Amino acid sequence: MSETSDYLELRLYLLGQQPEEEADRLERRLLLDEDLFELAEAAEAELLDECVRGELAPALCEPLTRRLAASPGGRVRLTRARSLAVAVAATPAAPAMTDRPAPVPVLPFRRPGLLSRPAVRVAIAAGLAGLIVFAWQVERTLQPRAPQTIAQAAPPDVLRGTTPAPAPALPISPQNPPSTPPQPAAPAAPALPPVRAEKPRSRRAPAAAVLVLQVAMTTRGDEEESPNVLHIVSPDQPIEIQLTLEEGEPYSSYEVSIGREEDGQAVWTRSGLTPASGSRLKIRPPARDLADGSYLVTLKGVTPEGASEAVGYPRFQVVRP
Amino acid sequence: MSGGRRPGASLRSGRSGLSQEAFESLLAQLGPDRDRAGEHYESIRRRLVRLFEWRGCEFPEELADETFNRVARRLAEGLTIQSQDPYSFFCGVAHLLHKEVLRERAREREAQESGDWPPYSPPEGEEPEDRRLGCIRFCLGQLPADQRQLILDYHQGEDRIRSRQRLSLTLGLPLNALRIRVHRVRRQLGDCLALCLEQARRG
Repeated sequence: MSETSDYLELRLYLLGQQPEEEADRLERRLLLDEDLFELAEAAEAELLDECVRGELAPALCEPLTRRLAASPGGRVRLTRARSLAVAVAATPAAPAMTDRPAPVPVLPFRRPGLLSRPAVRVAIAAGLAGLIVFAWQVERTLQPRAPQTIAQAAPPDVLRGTTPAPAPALPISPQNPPSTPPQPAAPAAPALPPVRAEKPRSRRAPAAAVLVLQVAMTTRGDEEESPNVLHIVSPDQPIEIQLTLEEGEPYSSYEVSIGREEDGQAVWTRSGLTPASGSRLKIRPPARDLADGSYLVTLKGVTPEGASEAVGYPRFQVVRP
Repeated sequence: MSGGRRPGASLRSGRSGLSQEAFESLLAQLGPDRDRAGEHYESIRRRLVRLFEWRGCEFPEELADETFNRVARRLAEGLTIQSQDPYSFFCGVAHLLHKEVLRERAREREAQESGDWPPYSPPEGEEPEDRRLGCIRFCLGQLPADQRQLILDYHQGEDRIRSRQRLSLTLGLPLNALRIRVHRVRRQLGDCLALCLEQARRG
């Protein structure tokens, strides 16, 4: 079953809108399939969120919330959904992930050179190790306290019903949560995985921006419902566009052309490309060639006999801050 | 069931109702390695609890235990599960149990001539909203930056269908994988919230 239909089926089940037989069948699958079960939990959380925000008709929400309100665990999740929705709504919107470069590994733009030599690698590794030990010793001298974990951290002072000792710049309240982590609490609490403290980010070259485009079923005249947006933060930012191909394409190589939609002018072309892994063809046009605007990608497949055939025409938009 | 009566009256519950022999038969059915079988037991139990919750049962944990008890008793009586996977058998027993619960509920309804569900009243000790909100903000602040951003991106925005599609493209994740990733962060948030409220309660 496809992932979309699984998700929709789970929503219907949770809303109590599935015929009994199908619900029974789905429950058997839920017992067998851990991934499906986790997706069902996710679907429940999303439905509750939609109910809390009034995005789902009350007639649909009511049976779900009533069923959940019957059990202690369900009541906890209902309350959490409400609190999370309120807290998220009250949190100022930060630049979305889609507006920032995606956190992907640095791409191998360079060919192996000096670094490929073992002796050079060993020398660099030894130097780095020394640097790390030195930095650790300095840090140990300056900051003897261990990093705090959720398990060790206490809730904000206001939640403990005490007045914060030193007068902070802003009064601590649920509207103004403390900016520094609370001090370790005395009572033992169930351990949670340690949460890393946020470290200030050093200035460095922007990470690569990656955009995945579905090629299948795209035609030259398509008006896509959801524009694919490529956010570019600087002219030297590495760009990677991944074109998702159909399985088992009969082509030995591909030609890609990126053209501006407004005037059809090609800004970047490559031929002789082959999918690097799986069924994704990765292209890396320079960011400086892509000004703000809409682009049409023309993807052609080249058969082993040398004939060129159109494969698809995905679109994307370039947006800069 | 629905009237607030625990199922213990007519549906015996709890592992305590099981003999050691019956429990061992149950574990043996779940796998040759006892530790692994124990993990299977917990995993099935967790899912059964949730299924009963989704069916609107009031005491899902006890019904899950009762499901195990019934399976274990049948096994101790010499029943061999023919099905390739024992999970289906558990599911079948759980369905029968749920039907019993529904019948019992119907009988109660007839007897009491009252509404199907008890009016929802906050359980004793439910946290004040401001404390809960404070804790959830605190816990959001405790999340690693990328996870916090993921939660906020996922829930904020006007056109959330599109923004989630964009997010899935940006992260290179299929939508369901994105949903599950967000759900895991939510779960982590839930654990932190419970801990925070507990600590706040202790003062």
